[in-house]
Amino acid sequence: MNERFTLPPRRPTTQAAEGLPRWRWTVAEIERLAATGFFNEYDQFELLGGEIVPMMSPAGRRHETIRIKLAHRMGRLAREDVIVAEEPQFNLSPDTFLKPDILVHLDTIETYDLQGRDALLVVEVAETSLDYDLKTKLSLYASHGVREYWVINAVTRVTTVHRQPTGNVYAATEEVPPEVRLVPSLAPELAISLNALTLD
Amino acid sequence: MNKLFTLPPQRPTTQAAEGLPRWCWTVAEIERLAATGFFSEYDRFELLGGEIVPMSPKGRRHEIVREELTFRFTKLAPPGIFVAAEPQFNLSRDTYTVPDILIRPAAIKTPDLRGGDALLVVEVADTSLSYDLKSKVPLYALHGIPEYLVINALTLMTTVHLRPTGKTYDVIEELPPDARLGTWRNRLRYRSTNSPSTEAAYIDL
Repeated sequence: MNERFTLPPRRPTTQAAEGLPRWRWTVAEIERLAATGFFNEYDQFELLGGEIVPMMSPAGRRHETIRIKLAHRMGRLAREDVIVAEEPQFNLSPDTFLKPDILVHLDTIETYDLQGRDALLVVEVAETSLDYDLKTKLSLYASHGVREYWVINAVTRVTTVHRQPTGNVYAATEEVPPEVRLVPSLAPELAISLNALTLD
Repeated sequence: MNKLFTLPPQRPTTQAAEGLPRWCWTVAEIERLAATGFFSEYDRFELLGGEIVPMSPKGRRHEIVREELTFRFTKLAPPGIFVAAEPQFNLSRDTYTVPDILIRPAAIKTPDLRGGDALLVVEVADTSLSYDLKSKVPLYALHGIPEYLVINALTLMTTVHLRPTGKTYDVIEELPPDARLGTWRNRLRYRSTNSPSTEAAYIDL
């Protein structure tokens, strides 16, 4: 008889050592851990400055719908040599990797080997994580030279477009409502308005 | 020709994800990692509520006070009482500390020891004074450590914590290193005014 399948218990998060200096992991070490089978597929996380930050799971219906449809449409519009990657591991530094919802780049470099400045576009869709995406992630993407960064509010469908990374902020920021076409400055053929996606 | 031996560089610490919910390790997982040779002997840390908190290298003064005190406690310990030096003290599923000195009944081995079974925990503090006084007090109190001493390695002032109540201790006394508390050269002796009556369980210091 089949053994009943049970999900592993959801791992709790912690802030117990808030304010204390904590252990700093490197991307390489996390991968070594993963290779030994330490993590299971429910352990989804990003690595921020050496700290393991679990990702929200599940991401939410609106979040997923926008991400999937936008990536699908962009994939079809993209030239042969442009990759539209969904939730890839984006290694920004030896102790940081993020998992952006969409990452667009030229095929000349493996996603894994990309540097911040190689990205043509990074998109984060935010349902409950708006603050995190607009602040914490923004400063990481900017400081690592990501030239264009969109944050799409999954509820209002308003997109904040960030360009010209300067230090850990963006010099040019623009709010774009869903009926207006979003045009990636480095990949204009992927221009799209959120209203044009069949989101409802 | 022999290669020059150099210590591996101290692992840098981080607070990059301050304010964000972070990954929670268990003691068992850390032990598994250690068993696979993941950590080096230079990686010394405690596990606080699932977070790996590296221990900073200790200064000369700290080490002298710790060593002398450990030695003297060990000599004074009657049968049935065990003095553990810098042990891994598992307080819960996701927490262990590495106190400078842990005094426990000999019958209960350190890995099986529960907070309430411990007799005395001593931390010698030089640069970590506020950490040992602030972060560790609620931790030890919540886990029922009946008596917790923090010795300031520089001034030799000792803060005595007795009778854990919730996140703190009922009795917190500062004792100077004079008549009541010998310097590290002499026997450490003190008598707290509000000692609990179960002296039989305690070393007469």
